[in-house]
Amino acid sequence: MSPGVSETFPEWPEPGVPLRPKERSNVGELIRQARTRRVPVGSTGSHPWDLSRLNKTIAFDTPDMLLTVETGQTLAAAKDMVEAERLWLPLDMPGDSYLSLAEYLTQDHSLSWLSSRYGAARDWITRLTAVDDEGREVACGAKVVKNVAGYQWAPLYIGAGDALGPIVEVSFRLLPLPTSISCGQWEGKSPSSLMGIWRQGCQDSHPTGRGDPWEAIRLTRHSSQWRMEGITRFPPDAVANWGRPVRDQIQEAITTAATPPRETAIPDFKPVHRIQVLPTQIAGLLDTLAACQLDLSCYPASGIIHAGPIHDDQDKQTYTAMLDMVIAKGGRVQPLRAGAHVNRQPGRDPSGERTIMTRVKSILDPEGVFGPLPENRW
Amino acid sequence: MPLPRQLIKQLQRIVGRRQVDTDFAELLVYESDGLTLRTARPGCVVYPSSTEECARVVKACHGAGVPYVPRGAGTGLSGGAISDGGVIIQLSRMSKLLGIHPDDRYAIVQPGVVNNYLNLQARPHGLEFAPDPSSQAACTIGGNLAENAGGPHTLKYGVTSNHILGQTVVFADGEIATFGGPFPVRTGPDFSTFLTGTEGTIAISTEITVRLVPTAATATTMLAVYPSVSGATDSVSAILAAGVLPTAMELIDNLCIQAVEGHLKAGFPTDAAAVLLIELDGEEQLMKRDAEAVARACKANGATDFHTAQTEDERQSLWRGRKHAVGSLGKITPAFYTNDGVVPRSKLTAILQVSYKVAQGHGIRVAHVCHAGDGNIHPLILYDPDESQGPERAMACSEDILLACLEMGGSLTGEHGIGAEKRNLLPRMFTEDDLGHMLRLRDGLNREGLLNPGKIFPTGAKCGELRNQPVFPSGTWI
Amino acid sequence: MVATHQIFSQDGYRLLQECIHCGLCLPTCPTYVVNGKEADSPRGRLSLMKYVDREPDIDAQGAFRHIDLCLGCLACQTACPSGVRYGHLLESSRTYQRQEIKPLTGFQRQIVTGVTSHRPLGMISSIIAVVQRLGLDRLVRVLRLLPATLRFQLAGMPRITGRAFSRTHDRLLPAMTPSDSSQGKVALFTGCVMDYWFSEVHAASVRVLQWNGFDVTIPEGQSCCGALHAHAGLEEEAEACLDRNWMAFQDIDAQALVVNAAGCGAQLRTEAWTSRNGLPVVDISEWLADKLIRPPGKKLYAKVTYDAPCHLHHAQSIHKAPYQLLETACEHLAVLPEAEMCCGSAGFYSLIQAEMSQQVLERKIAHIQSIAPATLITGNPGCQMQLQAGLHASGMKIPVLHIIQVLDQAYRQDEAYLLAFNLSE
Repeated sequence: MSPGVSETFPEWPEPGVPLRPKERSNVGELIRQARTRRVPVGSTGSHPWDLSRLNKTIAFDTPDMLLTVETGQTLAAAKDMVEAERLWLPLDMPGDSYLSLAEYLTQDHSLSWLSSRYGAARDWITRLTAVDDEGREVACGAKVVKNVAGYQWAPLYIGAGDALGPIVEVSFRLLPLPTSISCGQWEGKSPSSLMGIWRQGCQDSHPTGRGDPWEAIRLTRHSSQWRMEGITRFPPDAVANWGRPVRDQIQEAITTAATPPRETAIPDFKPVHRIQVLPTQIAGLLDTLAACQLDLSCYPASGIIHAGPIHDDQDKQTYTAMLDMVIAKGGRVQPLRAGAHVNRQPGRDPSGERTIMTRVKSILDPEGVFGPLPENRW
Repeated sequence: MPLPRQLIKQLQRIVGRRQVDTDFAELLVYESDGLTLRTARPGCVVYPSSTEECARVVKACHGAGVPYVPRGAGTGLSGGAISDGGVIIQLSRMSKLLGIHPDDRYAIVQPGVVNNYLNLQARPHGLEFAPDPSSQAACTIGGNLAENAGGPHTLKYGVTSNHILGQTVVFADGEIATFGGPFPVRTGPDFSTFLTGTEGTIAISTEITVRLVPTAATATTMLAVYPSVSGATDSVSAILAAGVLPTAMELIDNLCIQAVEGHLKAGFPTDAAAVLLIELDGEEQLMKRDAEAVARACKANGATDFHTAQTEDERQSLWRGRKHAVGSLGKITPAFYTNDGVVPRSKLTAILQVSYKVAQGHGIRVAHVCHAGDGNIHPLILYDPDESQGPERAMACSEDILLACLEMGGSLTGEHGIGAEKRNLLPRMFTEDDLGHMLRLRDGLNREGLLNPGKIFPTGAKCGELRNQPVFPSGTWI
Repeated sequence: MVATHQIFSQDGYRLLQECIHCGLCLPTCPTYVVNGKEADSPRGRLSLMKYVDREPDIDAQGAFRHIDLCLGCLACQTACPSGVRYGHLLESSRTYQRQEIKPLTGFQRQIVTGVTSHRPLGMISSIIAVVQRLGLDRLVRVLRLLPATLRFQLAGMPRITGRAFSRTHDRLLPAMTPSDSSQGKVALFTGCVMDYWFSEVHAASVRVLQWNGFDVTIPEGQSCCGALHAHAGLEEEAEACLDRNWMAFQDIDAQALVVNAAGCGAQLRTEAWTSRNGLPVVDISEWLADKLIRPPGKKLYAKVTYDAPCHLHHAQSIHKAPYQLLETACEHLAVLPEAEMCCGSAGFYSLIQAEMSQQVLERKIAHIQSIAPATLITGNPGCQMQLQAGLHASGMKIPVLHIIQVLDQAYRQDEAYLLAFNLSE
């Protein structure tokens, strides 16, 4: 084996072929070799990473409530492992969490129906190891639940594609697994009555009327059917009472579960845009979207709607006008596929995020060893 | 070396004559923050009142090549808000609450807003800002952000970085930028969260958007009393293993109890080796069930008394005892030094044993308050500043405890920050490559190194240079 | 190393060391809240005291500029987790300052002693009473005849008679028969400024005490409590006041010495007093809170709010009693934001540090405006005048009354009360 070449690829592969290191040390070797060959690597470069073989569990200390794994593991596998010990990693993604943690983190798929309560990936990572542009492993954080020593640069890497380098190891803090979860499911003809139940739940569950009883909540539209699903620690009889008056013509099912169910995928749903607004603006948007023929998934408390695609021309106009309005009012529209960019003033970067990340990229990868920052984050 | 007169004049033009302090007495009071062991006198103190003024002040300092340090209430415990001869940018005049949006659950504040003040304004809406450092009556949101502050209730609700949604900042060259926004959830990359906890070494936050969470509908506070410290620490793991997530689990040891009860009468039994203060909140039925589980776990681990606060007054009294525990030590010692080590939770019993033993070895008294649920310990090392070698012995003792934390897989600091205080220990926690990577970020974003120099990283450490440098001998104080 | 001390004894220095520099006092300090400067915070001032004490070469004048700016409201003492006795330390440093750095000018000294002793105060009061009666005070304001600070103060003064309560109370109040005195006997402290300018508060105090079954005695020979002297660093004069009052009260057979001025109460309640006199000093609100055997039959309806005098809330740690009393008398008692923060009066402070005093007052007035009460209630003469002047200046016609005056008003809705004290409605 020549120095720097992984045994998987005795010859440097054609563009597009994934890099599939077998050992941790191979990642650095591959980066060093790509550096000399001046071939950018990573999902936005010539060779995406496939870290599925780096899938060891480094440490799982039940009393410490910490899990440290290599990122070749899938989110589902990690969640299964901790749940077997009655612990919980409150991160999710619709579907069966088939992505490796490396992809899950670098693409940041951590926005889920749990997010309004439990945040996103960055909120659960206590330590993160990546590989830098010279092939060295670098880490931030510590394997403890609370730590402020040094810079915690993990939030820069999560969602940055592989533009700053691949993530190879991660430590999560965990929670005790909630027991006796109530699950509610409602189906109706319009989004407004379902939203009514959600709002009423928030009001009824707290003396100040500003409760947040849901561990997870999602509202979807699939084949013209509106449906809301939520899980909560409140007992089923409490859930059954929330928003009683607005429940006409709504089918409901309230059950209990021993472990919190995961977010299910909507069949054949490939959203085009992620729309982000304030929670109070969600109901209005849903009403507009109800007039168009399209599938969607909405996390009301997080102010997030995933929507699209759209086929009817007239609907397209309504939809585009709505997106323009969202942007005009300060909301965000993020394209989820190539070519789905919406009209935006050229060079407008209201959050300043793109400019600073470009600067961070030039600091951490001045020679472009890794592919460019993903376009679709802004 | 005095600051250039030209710079002082320029600063006076930006903020007004009266908002630039240069008199001896005025500067003297800024020579330390909450950590009195570390002192350094600034060359001047300037009080901007807006983001723009702050940016112009930074530009002026940057232009003059003079170092500058942002400062809030100066309650920090790691010497992060001191400057040796440079300019202190004091943000206390930027203390406006710019807006509170109860329906969307966020507030926009200037950095000088006091943590408690924000809560006072948010509570009528049924909301609060979750991070609650013990200094919350005085510490500012800007400082909370800089240090990524914690507090007793972070066990359930998370630390400051989980509650910052966006910020407007002034970079080291005076450039103004805005990151994040009012949206409740964000996906990465997330520069704002990265900035949280960088101790003001990359940018100065001048406008902060924070998340507000519903106040707990009901809360129960319990007091478990132990004849041995290990009984209390073992209970912590037992409670979590029972599937209960309290909002807070605080350990207070005997010496600290003595100090509190000496003048506050919070209701802690003075003959206990340690007490555990446990708080639950949430849905009533669940809370009742959890409370029973907590009681069982405590008694199984040797609690001789287990008591639930019956009235709100009693509950407040217990918490006042906890929040004033550190301050009460002023009654039993002329000075003390607060350690902020962290260990994995299962090592809690072991690290406290080490702490007592190390202190004994140094011939020093040590009191403990711990955010036990987080594995975050605060050994309070008592010393006399007027005694020869008093401060040195206290520091040596603290350092030994921190090194023991690292050996157990822990961290040097859970919530107080590295500051000027522990920078020389940082290489013990991270590899050269790890530190090099952090320094790349610092030196790339704070190019001249004028913004808050000498904090977090060992002095003289530049990106790339660290590798060739010997690790600073421990106990070196510059 | 044996340190030399400029200000403190070794014990005093130990008290200074109780400050652990935590900063919890900062947001409670009015001057820090106003200008955000560490040197004008309690923690900053303690640092300055420490340096002046230990380093003789330090710029003491510069340090005392900031110590001078302290209102002495003692809010920091309430906030302090270490129990630092800030007030004690402040007075020690002011005494040092008067002796070594900047003695009071003869004129300043005369003002302090003049306002607090009977004869000069009587003369001043007579003049003011005449001025008020002739409406000249309005003329003074319109024509700007006096310096702005004095004009401001004048606007806050109550209408006065020019006569001291202690010398006229026999005529003012019909004595209740001893048979009504089922709760025993108390002595009333009349003081100096209270005696001449707030005789109505004294009268109301006597009525409410008597109505609730207390026999009230007002011994002769009382004098000023000495608070103003002590705050100005005139330690000896303050001692002399304490001595005179001790003489006046030492042989009185009563349960307590009831004080209705928070500042006087705080001054008398010192260790020196308690150690040599059996008569316990109590504030009238504290005394009556649980002894109101005949609470008003009917509450006052108008919205009122209460501003806590610093020397009641912070210096004497009396927090709940005023609210307890007011709840018996008022239907709508609104909570004033930052009620426990100083109004900027602080004795002579409002004259000497007029600018800071005004800034502190502005904040207070803004909070009062947010409540818009029909009456503002407090419990100290200085506060009453300062707040009245501030409200007047901001164009708000809100009377400022003492707690006991409000209670008296509630009782006045009762025929029997009016009859008993010869009052007209």
